[in-house]
Amino acid sequence: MASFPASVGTEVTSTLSIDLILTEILSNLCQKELLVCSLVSKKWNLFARKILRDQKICLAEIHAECPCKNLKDLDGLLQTVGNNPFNGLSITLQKTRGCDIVGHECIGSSGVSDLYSTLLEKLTVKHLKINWLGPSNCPAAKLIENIFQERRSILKGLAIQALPYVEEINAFFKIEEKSKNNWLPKLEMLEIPYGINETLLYTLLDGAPQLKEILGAINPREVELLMGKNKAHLIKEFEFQLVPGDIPVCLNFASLQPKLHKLMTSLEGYLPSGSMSSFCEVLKKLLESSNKLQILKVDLLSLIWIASVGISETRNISQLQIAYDDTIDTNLNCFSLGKVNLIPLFPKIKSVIITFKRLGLDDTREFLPQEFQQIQDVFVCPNVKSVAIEGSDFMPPNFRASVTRCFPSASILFDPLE
Amino acid sequence: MPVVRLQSVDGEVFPVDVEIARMSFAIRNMLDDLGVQDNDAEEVIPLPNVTGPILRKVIEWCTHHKDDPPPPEEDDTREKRTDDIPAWDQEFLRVDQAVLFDIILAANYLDIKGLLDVTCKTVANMIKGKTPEEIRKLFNIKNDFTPAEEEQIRKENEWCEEK
Repeated sequence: MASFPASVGTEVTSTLSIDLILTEILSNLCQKELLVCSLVSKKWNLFARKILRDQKICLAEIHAECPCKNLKDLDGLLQTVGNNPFNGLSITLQKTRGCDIVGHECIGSSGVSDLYSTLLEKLTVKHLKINWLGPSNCPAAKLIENIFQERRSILKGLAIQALPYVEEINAFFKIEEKSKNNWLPKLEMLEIPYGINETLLYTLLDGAPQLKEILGAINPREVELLMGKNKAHLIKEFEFQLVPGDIPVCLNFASLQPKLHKLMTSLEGYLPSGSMSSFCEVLKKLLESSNKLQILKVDLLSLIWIASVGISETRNISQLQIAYDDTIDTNLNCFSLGKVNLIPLFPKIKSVIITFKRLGLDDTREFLPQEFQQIQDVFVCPNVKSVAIEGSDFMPPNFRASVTRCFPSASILFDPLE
Repeated sequence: MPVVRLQSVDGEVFPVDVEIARMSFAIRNMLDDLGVQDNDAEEVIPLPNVTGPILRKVIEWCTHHKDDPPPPEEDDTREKRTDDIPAWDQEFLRVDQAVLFDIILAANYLDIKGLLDVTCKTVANMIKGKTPEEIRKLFNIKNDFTPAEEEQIRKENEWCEEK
């Protein structure tokens, strides 16, 4: 093979499986890097795409502008592709404008098997991600139903970002009584939508005996429901927006030692009545049990508290998302608490996202000019490689300069609001 | 400490502590299959796929890592980390690319998981952040796509949802 030098001698190369090693090397890469590798040579293409299909999640993305036509285009593409990289679909069926669902120019109501025959034949949907807001007769919606009803036995990952309310869940998914405890026999990953209703959650949990991970912004209410099904230990993403009444369930959850990948916590609504020692106890327990925690999303005040309690067990965190929240940060004047040196707290941190949104809510807020100055007084972190700033529609020049001073090695991405 | 003697393809013989040699599952199986006892110090195990200089490197790595705890169970193959290579290994693997590949081949042949992991991660880190052309140049790979084929692959890649 051209990719390895011949120094090992013909005897070696003839007896060893170099192909196996290329798989071993490439499987360390993420989706984006594997897509780059698939352009290197025919052999690399073969290997990179096989890894994408077999080991990673690689979804063909279908957009809300015209999902049915988009799927038709994908169907056409697959007619010419021998070695496609996909192992699933991500379908956004509709988008909203204000409170309304925006319609699209639909290609009609022909049968799914007529419209998408190549797709159904060539694309193995092991992972399905859907964002389906309301009733729809679009063939793209019919395709989702088809996957749920006829192809669900191979589903390994299901991410439901939104699903319209369904009165008869068993009829919608075509679940027969005898299979209700096994209708998603291979499902290992489930992402649940914000505010999922109890019946849908239980139907999904009961049907997936092999479930290993539950994702989504799981909140204390859902933790309680999952505890009732003995599934709370599978939660990987927890949104811990504390109110004083949630403390018992959060403590119970923490005592299960969940291995979280992502933790979001905010003190919004908790202060000033909630007790800081209870908050710290919950937080410390969750952080200590989650040695695989990669993403920590906090408001600034929580971050300062985390710094004060110490988090020696969470050294794998690679991304920190910090929310500036004027209601708590400014009122409590947390800036006066001193600088937060991120390096000992997060030695492996690579990226920081600074968001000017309130955590858990979508609303943005007015920017306070003094915050541009304050930010450089709060952080010290020379090893961060990228900083993204979100949730604002403008960034004055002096803010960029002050971010650069806090994160001197980072590239700075500013994503203004539309 | 009982010793086994490992012989490289070019005839060099290395006396190695049995416990260190047994970090290679291939050698472990050979010893078990042959029924070699700990006191058979004269037993020579020929390794026809590994040269002397590479075998020396492999033994050096195994000796340094002999007391490592067993690796934690990989429960996630989707997102492997490559930024967790210990400093000693980084320094140890600061070698010519040809030597690095030979070590990978040896680790694979001898079935030494820890060494295979860390060497493959090292190569993966060399690939990260590079363009296809830079990768070809780095590993001396010929681009065997026609421009039309390359364009088609680019088009297919554009369909993939960015995470």
